[in-house]
Amino acid sequence: MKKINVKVHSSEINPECTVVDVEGFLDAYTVAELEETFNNLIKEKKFKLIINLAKLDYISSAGLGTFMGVIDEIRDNNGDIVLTNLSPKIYKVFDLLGFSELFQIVETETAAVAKFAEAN
Amino acid sequence: MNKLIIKSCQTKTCTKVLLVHMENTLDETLVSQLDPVWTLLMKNQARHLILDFQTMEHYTPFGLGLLIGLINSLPLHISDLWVAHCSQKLKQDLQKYDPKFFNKVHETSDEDLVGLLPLKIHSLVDHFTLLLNSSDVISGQPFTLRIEAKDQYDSLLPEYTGIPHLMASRGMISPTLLPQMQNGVWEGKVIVSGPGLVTLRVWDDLIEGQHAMTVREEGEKISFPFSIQCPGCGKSNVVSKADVTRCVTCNYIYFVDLRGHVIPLKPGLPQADGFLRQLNFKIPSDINYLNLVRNFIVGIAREEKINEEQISQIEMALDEALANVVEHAYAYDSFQDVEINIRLHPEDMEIIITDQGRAFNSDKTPLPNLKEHIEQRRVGGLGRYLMKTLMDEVEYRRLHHTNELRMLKRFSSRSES
Repeated sequence: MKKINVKVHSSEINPECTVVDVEGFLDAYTVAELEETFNNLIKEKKFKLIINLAKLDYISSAGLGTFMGVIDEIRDNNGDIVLTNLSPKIYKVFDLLGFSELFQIVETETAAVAKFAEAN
Repeated sequence: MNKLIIKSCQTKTCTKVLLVHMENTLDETLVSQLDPVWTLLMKNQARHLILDFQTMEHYTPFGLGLLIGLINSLPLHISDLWVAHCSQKLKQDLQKYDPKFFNKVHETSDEDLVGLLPLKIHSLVDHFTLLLNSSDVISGQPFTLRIEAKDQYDSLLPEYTGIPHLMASRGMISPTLLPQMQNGVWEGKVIVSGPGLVTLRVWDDLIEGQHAMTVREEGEKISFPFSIQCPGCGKSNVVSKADVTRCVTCNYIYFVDLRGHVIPLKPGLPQADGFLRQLNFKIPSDINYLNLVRNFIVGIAREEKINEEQISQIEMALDEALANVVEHAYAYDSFQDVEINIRLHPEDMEIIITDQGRAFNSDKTPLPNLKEHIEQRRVGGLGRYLMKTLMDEVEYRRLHHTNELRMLKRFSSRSES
């Protein structure tokens, strides 16, 4: 069983946004793969990121740290990270550490795309 | 009179400490009394040895030389040797005899000694004795067993508070894990299945004992399939052969023998003072293992019907703690060991994580200010914050070369099955 699966594709709702599906778990071991994905996206100048956590079973402080590590660079480039489809368990972790204020968290991809439209 | 007083102690982490008080004169006769101490160390029944010289008045060069020789002959796995309350002269002489002495042996001050010793000190326990209330033991029928902790002179040691395991050489036995001994004794009902010649064995971290008996069968053999009442829920179960079975209704595990006797294999309702369960294992200091440990603790917690929210909290706290050990204690060296000790009580779960890495934690460091951390985009320290928030108690101590982190989670209502 694979521990983490990160899939990147452009949003069908708005192709300007990139959707990153994270499946599995984000702990100190698996964060490396997500970090690499973010680095690649930044290189490719894709800064409007929708992170779909529907199939994320677990996240630790290391996982949260990955998002925190790139958020400034992404926002500096007029982009953002919007998180979607968080399970209650995952949301609680974000909330516990105050990350629910640092990141935009919405229910669906549609809502996320709308957030980007608002920002424009 | 020359005396050697040997005390065996157990600290919170079940680390065995041998404290040896030397009295009067250290000469060759006193040193020869150290033999049982060395035997215990060799059998790996103690990890730490403290030689306390406070009440030693004199020593002969020969005695000292012999002692140093003994210390040098210890196997490498005895990593923790201490001397306490050495006079200046003694220290000088030890160094004179063996210039490398204080490379292998630490010296402890009063404070350290107090910190190392647990609240209770036991004399040198030697074995368990087993006593049955009757010589006629019938398969599947309870009899009274009395277990006593004794010293080498077969005297009862009322200060002893071990947690014994029970085993039978043949057939089934229940219970297999006893609650903590009181006043050096445990007495209670036991059931064995045998049949025939059965040796009962009692053992714990330090000592053991055994007793041979004949288990008689009584009653007619039944024919299978056979319907019995589950000892847990009372519902009927059909058993197809003499075997260990699990109740289809409540998952209670029991053994049915050839005569239809039902022997419960769970120890029954936990007693207030005992552990429900203790789990102890070591993992490599490799972040690849975090996931496996998380799965394990979640599995155990679900078995114990702890509510899901609390399971998630325990899972996360344990993960953060282990990640910290790998990163800070071992600097990502994945070839070291991390020891995990889980003690499950009826009201709470205690997790103790021990490693031999660098000191990296302190109860004295204040908890990170979340706001600042996030503003400064700092991840480090979030783990500690999480642990303190998710668990009811978090304590850290540094014991010589060991980091010990203890976390406790008190259960809110457990889910009904």
